[in-house]
Amino acid sequence: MPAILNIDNVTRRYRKEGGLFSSGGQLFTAVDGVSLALEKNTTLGIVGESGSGKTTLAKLILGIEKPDSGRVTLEGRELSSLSGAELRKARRGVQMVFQDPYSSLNPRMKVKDIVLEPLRVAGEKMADEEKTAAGLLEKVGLKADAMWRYPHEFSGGQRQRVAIARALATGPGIILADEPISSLDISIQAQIMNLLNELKKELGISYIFISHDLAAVRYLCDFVAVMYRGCVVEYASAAELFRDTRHPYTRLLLSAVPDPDPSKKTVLEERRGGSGGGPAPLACVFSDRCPRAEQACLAARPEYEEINPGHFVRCCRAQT
Amino acid sequence: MTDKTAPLLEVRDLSVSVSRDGVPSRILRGVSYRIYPGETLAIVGESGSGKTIGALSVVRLLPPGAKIDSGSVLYGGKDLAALTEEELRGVRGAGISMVFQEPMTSLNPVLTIGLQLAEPLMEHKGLSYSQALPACEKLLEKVGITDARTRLAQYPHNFSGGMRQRVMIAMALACGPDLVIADEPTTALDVTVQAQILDLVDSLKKENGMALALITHNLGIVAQRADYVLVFYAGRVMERGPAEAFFKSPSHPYSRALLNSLPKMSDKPGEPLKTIEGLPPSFDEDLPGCTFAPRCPEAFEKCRSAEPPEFKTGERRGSKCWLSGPKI
Repeated sequence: MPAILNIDNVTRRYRKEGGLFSSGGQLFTAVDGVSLALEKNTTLGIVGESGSGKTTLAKLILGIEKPDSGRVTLEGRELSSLSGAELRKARRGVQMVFQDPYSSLNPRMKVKDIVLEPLRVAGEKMADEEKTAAGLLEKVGLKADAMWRYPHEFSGGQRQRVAIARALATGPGIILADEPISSLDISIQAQIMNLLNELKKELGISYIFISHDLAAVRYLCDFVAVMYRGCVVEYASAAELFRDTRHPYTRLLLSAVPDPDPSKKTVLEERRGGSGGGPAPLACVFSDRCPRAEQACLAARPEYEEINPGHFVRCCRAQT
Repeated sequence: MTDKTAPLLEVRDLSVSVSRDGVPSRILRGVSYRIYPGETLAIVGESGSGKTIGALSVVRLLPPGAKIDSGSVLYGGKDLAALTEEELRGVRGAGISMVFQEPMTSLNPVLTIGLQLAEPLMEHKGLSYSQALPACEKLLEKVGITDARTRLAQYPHNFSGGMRQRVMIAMALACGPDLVIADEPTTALDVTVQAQILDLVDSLKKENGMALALITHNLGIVAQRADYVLVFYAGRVMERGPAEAFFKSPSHPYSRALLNSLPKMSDKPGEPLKTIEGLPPSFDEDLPGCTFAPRCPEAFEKCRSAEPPEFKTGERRGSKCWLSGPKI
């Protein structure tokens, strides 16, 4: 299947603020040599803890940030080579749904203006604005007359539907959803997950689903990338990742998820305290926390290897 | 927990209302529950269900404009609901302490960790700052913060989110409470940090024999950590019971719907999740029957006309549903 998005060995570094009177700080690598591909009409989950580079990767995909090295290719066009009108046009192909629908919708705009804004920004002429807005709202399960109301008149779940309608406006191939359900109540989370899956079937959309809710990731995603300190440490189909977990960090993550069945006691996989200053510069990124780390892990960064077809791991002990 | 031990705290028929522009809304309606020594009580429900108010009204930490209309909170031979504000201050942070959700906002950014940690000890034990410091150092070590002496002189911004939550827990433990009320203590944290914090709370609980009231919307945490569960909906306790029995066979249709809407490892990906249609009622809405009836897949005639009382469904178990009552 052809990939709609290709991320090829992308690295993004930031200069750390060195304080008020400092002339410049150290470099901090937020995204470190990441390669991923998103196939058409599939969902790619990106999981990892805060600070693992998920959000920077999202910004690179949206073309908000430019990579220091590597390429992001969207539907055959390399994002960093585009500028001005062409970049704006390419960006229409990726739209965003944010975590908190209480802050991501402008409280002073009517829902109609919120959902049509991406089209207006893109300079699109609409023959019938009301009809366009009604069509978008209908797709996400809201009534057309919702367009005349303001965000505060809606519940959290309904607001997230409005945010999804806005993301659909430009007819994107990809929707990038950053923790889209984590601020919602349980019963509403299920509704939004069902909606995302329905839209995927109906419109052939691809999703990038950033989340730390592993049960939701397993349910929604076809493929999963696990990030740690800017690196993808494991990538596989969701089915394989949860069945045949190879990277010690992925195992740690899975062991930390509380199971809603009291008979299955979850025990956090023991690990060494990682409170120090992080791993040595040349070592594996997870070596300072890894329960299985050995001398080889400290000496050199493991390669990103395909250990089974479609299953990639960055760990020198993944084979065992 | 056997019934022979006396409850540590008993909430009886507690009702709370909040006035906005002079119009009262009843946000808690006749809530009763007991907490036994050493027990972890989980309080679950959707946002706006009254779960936070239901727990924090015990120490009368209420939003502005809210007041207790009726009911009592029995603790240590006293009715907390009848105490003056002054008297309650002797209980808050001492016998009953709190841990809040946002460690980023619940610590004062311009005071050192040491000063904030010493505050409950100075307030309740009459210690001076220098007298309290050795105890503070021990507390930090207890919650797994190394190099405690240096850390005491630092400010909240020097601490990560997980570390701040450890500090909050140390503060809550400072005066050796017998009940800690924790409001979504790990919601803002990464899953691995969440597991560490909950492990820490569990071990401290065992060590000190304190009880824990855990407010959460994460049913996974409830399944793993709780002894007893209260399910809140629209300001009422819809179901109560020991955690194991609750997860094995929930009595109330609302509990069943909640548990069913969770994506499970056994679910086939792509198959639609079961959802609860509709929205919870607003506080002002006074339905003649059961508050869950409009969303309930099992509702029948009687549910829409009369509100069910709580029926006993087992040992320390109850359910506010006509289906749990005697068969007609």
